[in-house]
Formats: sequence, structure tokens, C-alpha cells
Amino acid sequence: MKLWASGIDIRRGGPDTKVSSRRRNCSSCPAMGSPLPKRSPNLRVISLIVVVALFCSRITFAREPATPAAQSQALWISNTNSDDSFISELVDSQLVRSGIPRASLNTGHSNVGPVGKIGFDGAGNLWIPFCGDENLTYGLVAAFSPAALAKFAAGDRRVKPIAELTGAAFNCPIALAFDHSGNLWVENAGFFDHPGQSIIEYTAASLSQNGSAPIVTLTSNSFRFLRGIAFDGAGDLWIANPANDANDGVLEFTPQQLSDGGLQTPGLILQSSLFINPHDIAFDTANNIWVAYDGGSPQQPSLGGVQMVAAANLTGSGTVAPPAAVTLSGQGQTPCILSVCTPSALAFDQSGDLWIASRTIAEFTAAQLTSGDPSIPQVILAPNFVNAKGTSLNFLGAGSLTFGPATK
Amino acid sequence: MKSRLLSSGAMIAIVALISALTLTELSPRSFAASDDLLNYDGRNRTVAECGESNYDTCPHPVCNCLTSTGSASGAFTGSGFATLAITVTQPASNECQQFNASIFVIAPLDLEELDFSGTSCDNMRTFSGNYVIAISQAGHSGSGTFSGKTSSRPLRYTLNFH
Repeated sequence: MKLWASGIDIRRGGPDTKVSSRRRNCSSCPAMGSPLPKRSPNLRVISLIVVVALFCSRITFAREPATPAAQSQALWISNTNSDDSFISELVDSQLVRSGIPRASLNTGHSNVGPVGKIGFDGAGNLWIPFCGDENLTYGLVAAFSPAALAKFAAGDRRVKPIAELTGAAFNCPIALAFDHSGNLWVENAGFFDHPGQSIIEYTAASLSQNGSAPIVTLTSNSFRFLRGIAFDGAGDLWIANPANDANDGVLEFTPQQLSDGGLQTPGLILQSSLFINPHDIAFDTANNIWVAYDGGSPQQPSLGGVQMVAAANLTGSGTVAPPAAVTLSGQGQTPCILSVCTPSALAFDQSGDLWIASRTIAEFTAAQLTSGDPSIPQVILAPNFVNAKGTSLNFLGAGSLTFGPATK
Repeated sequence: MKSRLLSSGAMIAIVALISALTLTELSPRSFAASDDLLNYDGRNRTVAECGESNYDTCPHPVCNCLTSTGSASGAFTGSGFATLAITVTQPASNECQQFNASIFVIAPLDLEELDFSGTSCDNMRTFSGNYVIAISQAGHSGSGTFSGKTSSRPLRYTLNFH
């Protein structure tokens, strides 16, 4: 059985050899993400370019043999649109300016149902949840080493996962996250007529063992349509739970509840008078929570957006609806296509910039997020579906965003 | 040592090529080739939705919605992605139709919204009217006229903003 239409095999493979990537290392070169220099008809500019390029090349040649290259980050996207479900990668050079980026990796169509929210472990392995098919196959979580991903990006389709987890406990896994000890938590969304939502935990040590089993299974009567999950700095697990009822919101489970497992009542349900149907969550470095949500209730209609609730307001128990400190949306003067349209996924990059997926993928810089007027994103990335299809697609229907090691 | 010399030579060749390309781009001829602010070429696949902007409203009580997604290129924006939504009055026999519309450009040099309105004739085959730059991340402003047409098989929109 193939995981992807383009050919990754489902059978477990042996450990992959590591490959190193070479990258220019020149502090005098223009910084990635810096504004484009304005054109000038002055030949001195060209002379300066030549001088800087020569200087950079000398530095590069001098350092190459001795200095290992820094690992660059890439934006990894799990795409689930009506016709297709695949993973794609946009390397950092494709993220610095608006337009139509080119993907450096596209897995092709998933053969094991829709792909969910992906994650990287501490070794840089990519873990992918596959929903499976209610009647034909169990859900699956498969892991790929950095070397396997690099081989795949280079065109070699004969790569194998280094681990796969499956069985009756995998009832449409659609999201995963690693806690601060490296343990893997998998969220089962269940199927429409076969709910069985749950959160299951695999210890870090068990992930490299054959036939390992989850050590914790957590369920809750509050679970409805589970979506994105994330750990905060204190080790609490937060779960986006679109529900259209009193359980709609973001659910929090404490480390003690996670350790105990079983049937649990959320320690906290975070709601807002402005949003319904939260889809994804992310925490910034100050432990503030960012929630991507659909528009408001019929009583208070609004467009979808992203709200940040300060860490200081994420306290207490029961249901809370503190005010949002920041709201990003397409309401007001900026149309949502140039801002935020019904977002489906969130991720912070290493610089603290927030990336939001909807019909496009928009970047708001950390400075914009704190300025109080983040109306127009710094960068907007657009899909290439008009002129591309299959493995040529850069992204389409982004269901999750994750920053991780780049393949190039 | 030999490979190092080759690498140095290759780097100098690349720099020379970049310099030549830069000089070519700086020549006045490349900017004088067209007075168009923006050219759009798209198909009838949807990204934008009607009503996306405050300007894209129905000029009469009853309207139809047209959307298109494709590419745009212009001096202010560079080449990139664009999507538009047109809210147009319903057709009447032998009459041109009024419309309000917005086009959104996502390109390396700018993020822009152009609002435009005018008339469409010959069963939506031709468009003409006026536009204004409503939003520009780079701070551009301006207004002018535009013209355009649709062609079928597959349905394709071509618009030129002057």
C-alpha cells in the first residue's frame, strides 16, 4: 500500500542516513525578509552589488569547509481541499515576498484519507496523521526522517516512513502535538456516525519501538468536532472544539488530567462573544493564545478572524470569555482577501511572526501584532491552482501550518 | 584549489550576468513599452467573493455576481496573483449592464485593491469604465480608465487598467 499517489511506501524502513545541507553564511548579505531595495539608475548601486557579492563569495569559500550550515526553516502545509489531500513545503526563500510561491516538496494525493495537523519531533522527523477511511482502513500516523524528506524533495520517491502507528485506537486522527517531554499526543476526530473522539498519548521512548501502544486515552463529554491542538508553556493541552453549542470554544486539559486520562471535564473552556467555531490555536512566546475562528453567531454576525487572549486571562475554571487583546479580521476597510478570511490554521515562525491560512496564507510580523493596527499583512502567499494541478500545486485548502526543518 | 578557482570564476560570471540583467532592467525602454498600470488575465475560478470589498456593491436592486482568478502584472505591483469580483446588473435585451467591482492583487512589489465601475456590453463581452487604487500596501495612489473583454472556451477575462 502506498501512502501517497506519488509513491511513498507504507512499510517501515530502516534508519535513514543524515544528509547535510550547505547554505551561504554571510553576515554582509542582505537579510532574508528585508525590504527590497528600490531601483536606481545609478551605476554605483551595481558596483556595490558586485563588491558585496564578491565579498560574500570570499566569505563563503573561506567558511565552507569548517562551518556546518545552519538548518533553515520551511513552512509545511497540510492541504485538504475537496478533491485532494497532500503535504507541501515552502522554503524560506519563497516566504519573503508576496505572490505565488513555488513548493519545493509536494507529496501528491494521500491514499489513506485526509491528512491532518502535522508536527516535528526534536530530531526533525515529520509526523503526519492520516484520517483513514471509516469502512476500509484504520487511521494512521506516519513519521519521516529529514533524510527521507530531502530524498523525496530531490525526486526520489522510494522513501519509507521510519515509524507508523495505527490500529483500532486511530479513529480518524486529524491532529498531533508533542509535549515538552517529547511524548506524542494524537487527536482522533472520529467519523460522523462513529464518533469516538479521543486524545491518545505515546511516550517518546515508545515511538521508536515496534508494536507500541498508547499509554493514555483521554475522552470528554465536551468533545464535538475536534480540530487543532497545542501545548502551552505550562504543559496544558488546548483543543479547538467547534460545537455550535455551550461546548463551542477552546478546551484546556491540565497536565494532571492528561496524566490521569479517562473521562475528563475540561479545566477551562475559552469562548468569545465574537467568535464561533474555533479551528486552530497557537501560543506565542509570552504564552498568549491565538485562536482562528469562523464568524460570529447569528445574533452577532461577523467575519472570521484571529483573536489573541492574553496569558493572564487564561485562568480560573469553567467557561470564560475574556476580551481579546488583538483581533485580526477582514472587517473594516481592508477586505478579507488582503487580510484574514475565515482562517483555518495558524503557526508562528522563529521570528515570532504569525502565519495564517485561509484562502491565502498571510504573514503578520511580530511588530504588527503588537502595534495595534495590523490591517494589511507583511506578506501574502497565493495558491497557483489556476495554472497548476497535482504535484505542481503549491498549496490549496491549507488545514494546518507548521514550521520545521527545510529539505533544501 | 582547482575547484576553488572554478567556483570563484563561476561566481564572477554570475555577478556579471546579474549586472547585465540589472542594466537591462534599468533601461528606459522597458518602462516606456506600456502606459498600462495593470494588466489582468484570469479565468472563472473563484477565490474572491462578491461583496468582498465595500465598493463591490450592486448598482441596482438586483445583480449577478462574477468572479475570476488569474494573474496580473504592472509597474507598481510586479507580476503576481490577482482575483476579482464583479457585481453586475441583470441583463436586459440590447442594453449594456452597469457594474461595480474590485480586483485584488497579491504580487511581490505591492498588495493592492483597485475598485472599478462602468458598463459591460455585448452580453458581457466588453467592459469599460474608471478605476481608483483603493488600497496599496506600498502607498501608491491613482485613478484612470480601464477596458476589457471576455472570451469563451474556456471563459477568460482580460482587463487593462490605464
